[in-house]
Amino acid sequence: MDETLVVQDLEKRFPLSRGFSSIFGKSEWVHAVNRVSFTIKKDEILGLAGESGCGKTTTGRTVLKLFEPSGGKILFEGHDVTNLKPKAMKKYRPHMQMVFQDPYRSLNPRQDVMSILSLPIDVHGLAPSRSEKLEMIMAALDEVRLHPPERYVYKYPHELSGGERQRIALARVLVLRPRLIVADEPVSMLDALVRTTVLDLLLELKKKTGFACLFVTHDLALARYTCNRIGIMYLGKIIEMGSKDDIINQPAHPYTKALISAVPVPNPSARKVQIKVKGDVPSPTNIPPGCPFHPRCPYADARCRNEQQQLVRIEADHYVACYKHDLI
Amino acid sequence: MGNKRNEDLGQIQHLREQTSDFWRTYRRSKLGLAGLAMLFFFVGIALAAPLIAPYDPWSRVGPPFTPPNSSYIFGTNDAGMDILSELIYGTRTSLIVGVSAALIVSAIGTLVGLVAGYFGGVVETTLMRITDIFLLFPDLPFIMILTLYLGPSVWNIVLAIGILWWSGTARVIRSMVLTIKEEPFIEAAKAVGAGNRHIMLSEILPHVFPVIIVGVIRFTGFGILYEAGLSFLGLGDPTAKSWGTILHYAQTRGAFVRGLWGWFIPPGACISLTIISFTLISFSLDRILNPKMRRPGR
Amino acid sequence: MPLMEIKDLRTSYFTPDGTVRAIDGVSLRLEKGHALGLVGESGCGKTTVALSSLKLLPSNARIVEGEITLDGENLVIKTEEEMNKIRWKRISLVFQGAMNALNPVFKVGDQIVEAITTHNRSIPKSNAVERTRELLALVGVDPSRAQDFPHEFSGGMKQRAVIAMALSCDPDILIADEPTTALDVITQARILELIRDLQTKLGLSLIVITHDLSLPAEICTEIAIMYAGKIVECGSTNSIYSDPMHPYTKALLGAFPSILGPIRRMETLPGFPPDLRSPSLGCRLQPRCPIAEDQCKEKEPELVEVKPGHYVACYKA
Repeated sequence: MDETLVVQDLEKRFPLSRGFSSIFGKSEWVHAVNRVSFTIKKDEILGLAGESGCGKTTTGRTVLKLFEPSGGKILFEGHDVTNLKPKAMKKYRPHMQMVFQDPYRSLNPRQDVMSILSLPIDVHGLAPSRSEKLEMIMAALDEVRLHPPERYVYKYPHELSGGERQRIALARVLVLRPRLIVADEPVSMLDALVRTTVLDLLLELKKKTGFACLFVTHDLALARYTCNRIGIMYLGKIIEMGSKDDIINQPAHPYTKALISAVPVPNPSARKVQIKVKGDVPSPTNIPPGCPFHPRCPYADARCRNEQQQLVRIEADHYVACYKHDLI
Repeated sequence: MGNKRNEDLGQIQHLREQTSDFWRTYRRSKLGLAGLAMLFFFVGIALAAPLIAPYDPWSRVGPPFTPPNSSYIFGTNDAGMDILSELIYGTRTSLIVGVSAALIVSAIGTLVGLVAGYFGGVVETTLMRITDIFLLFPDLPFIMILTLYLGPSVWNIVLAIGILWWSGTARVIRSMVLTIKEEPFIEAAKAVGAGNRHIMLSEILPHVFPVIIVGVIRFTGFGILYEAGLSFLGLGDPTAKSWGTILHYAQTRGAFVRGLWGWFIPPGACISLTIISFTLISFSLDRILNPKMRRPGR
Repeated sequence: MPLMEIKDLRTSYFTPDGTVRAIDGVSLRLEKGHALGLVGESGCGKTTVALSSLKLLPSNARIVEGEITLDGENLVIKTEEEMNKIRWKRISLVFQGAMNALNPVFKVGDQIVEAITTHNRSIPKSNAVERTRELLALVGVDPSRAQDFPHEFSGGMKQRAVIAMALSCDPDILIADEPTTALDVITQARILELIRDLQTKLGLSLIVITHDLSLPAEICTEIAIMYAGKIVECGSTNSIYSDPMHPYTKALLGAFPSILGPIRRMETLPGFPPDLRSPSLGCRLQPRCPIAEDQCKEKEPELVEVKPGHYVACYKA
């Protein structure tokens, strides 16, 4: 099975107010994910990048069925898991896991490392005896380089640093040997030097155990470092997708260009062309018609205002949702 | 085998460290220590009752209405029973009633609050409406009817308190669960594949546990007060030895007019001191266990 | 003479678990019209420097030693009353997370007006309202939005409003603590642009505190790198980026992948920063330093001018 994850026209809507208007059948919807499609091959890292509110985090969670999709299809290793109920999903769960953004809140502060790492083992019955479970936990701690493992087993999260906590979160996931990991901004809340440690660990473990990864991030430089391919999201849609070189070196969509030009570079003499973008990201409850980016785009015209742009292939593996891509 | 020992040792050591840390923090609160000392005092009395009571409180051991003297430290009641001995045995009743009532209240309240808060939707609404109904129950009329119906007994008081008070706890626990439910580690547990039961018991319950503990201690104090009050009103078991019953007889048999201070002051003092001790302990524990809930901006 | 100078500052936090020497001998200079970037990871003491400068330390912290001079006057010995004339009017602070600290139940405009009138009790309200409109326009927010509540403002707009508040009394120095941390990339670029503009327009001197070593390249003239309560390297922006000399600076630079240029392996240092309750006698980076020697363990290196204007605290520089 070459394709670990296939997502087709995925949609996720959230209802807004539950006030009086909903009684009359008129509720507003937030289209957090608006017909998103992508594929992740075995052992590939696909980055999903964009600013806050673009839907990348929601996509990550919906793909793992932490949110129920409102539409579209999710195929994990060929199996259609879109409409599976929690009970039926349970057997897929060990293979599809998530690493969360906040190391300070994704571990239960009232549980020690032993309990935290016991959870996946107990839930999926991976260790028939207590000593085997302990062995698995020690091995997991060793794998994420928390040495010596004995020192960490009974510690509570508040006794650990951010980097150590995130490694425990990684260990919790890796114990299941998943084949797909969704990493939701896994290092954005860590200090600079710690970031590198955790990221390198993730990449190394991927090489060792093999998994496909959906890497959600707002940091394009990080995406470039980590991912094989990158998809840029804006207001619930993927507006450009391609290999990391395509996206970073030859961005085609005006938004991608603006995004890349805005990333600060630790080099005062680097000449950057700043693409000016007007206004702020609109609220996801009020998505503009046509191309969602048109109100802020310096190149927008009538066609942009009225017509929704589809992803169009412009090179071997490079897609963009902007008909003007070669005119600018 | 070696592994098991290492693991148990590590766990025991960690527990020991935590206990001594906790004790060190608790020690800092003088009021908390005072409360604890009083509690030990009363528990000690309750446990050692047969050994330290000078007389059998159910037997007539002297002339009735005796004021305090060398043989009967607090005097005797209208039936010639030694009041001090009554008090000592009364400690047992009060503590048992208080603790039992508190446990029932906490158990029911936590269960309801946990289930309602976690599942939400119809379940929550239904359970919360039921809770509201119980919240509005008028205490005294209900207990009177209950005791009338079931007969006077200390355990009916425990039952009554349990039925009346669980609703308050349920509300508190439910609102805590609502907040905890949104925490990322709950989502993480779901992502790993944990089911509802596991999440409620292993992920959420440990969080509300400190609040429950504090609640149990506080309710024990209230339970003692309530039992005393109800017994005083004559709704308890007239043959039981409880501080409230002693006061009941003191009042109805004219201790006040006879100036028999040994009959009515000591029970009142015991009731007050016990409640104070539970309150102090619960207050100190609360500050340690639930710092975020108490101090804004910490 | 520099506009503001910090000389050998030591600030400690007194906690039940011990005394934390958050700043242990920090010296900095800010020239008029310049922008100094103070860079370091969390816990290095950079926010404490800002709080010490304005004497806004919490009750369990104290400046233990050193001088902070503003135009030659030592702020450390000033009384609270004297400091009130300095805060907001000569030195102003946009503290970390300020944009989320806007009071949600008051209109944004009213909050800026309040900042103005609190520091200028004699100003009539109408003047303050007018000034608020001016300030909002200055930071690129439509003045009519003064009638809105914070939740109606986007993240970038809230940060602009908070900057406006800090500039309300026309300070000489603005200290911005992590001004763009919670913001999106495009918004961040625009806030940085705003800060650059304001510097030119108002002749503002800046201290920018950040953990992101890519930021100072955009707006700072000088950079000082902090580690474990001490400055390990400082110099002009160009010099620091083109010729970083301290192992920590190099590691920090290497830890941020760049969007341009070849993809290098990200750098790291094993271990973690020392416990500031009992710092060692030697160089604080020594336990983690890849090039440490014996002398590094024994005695702390001083900041030495290795190139004109470029100082490093390392024996091997």
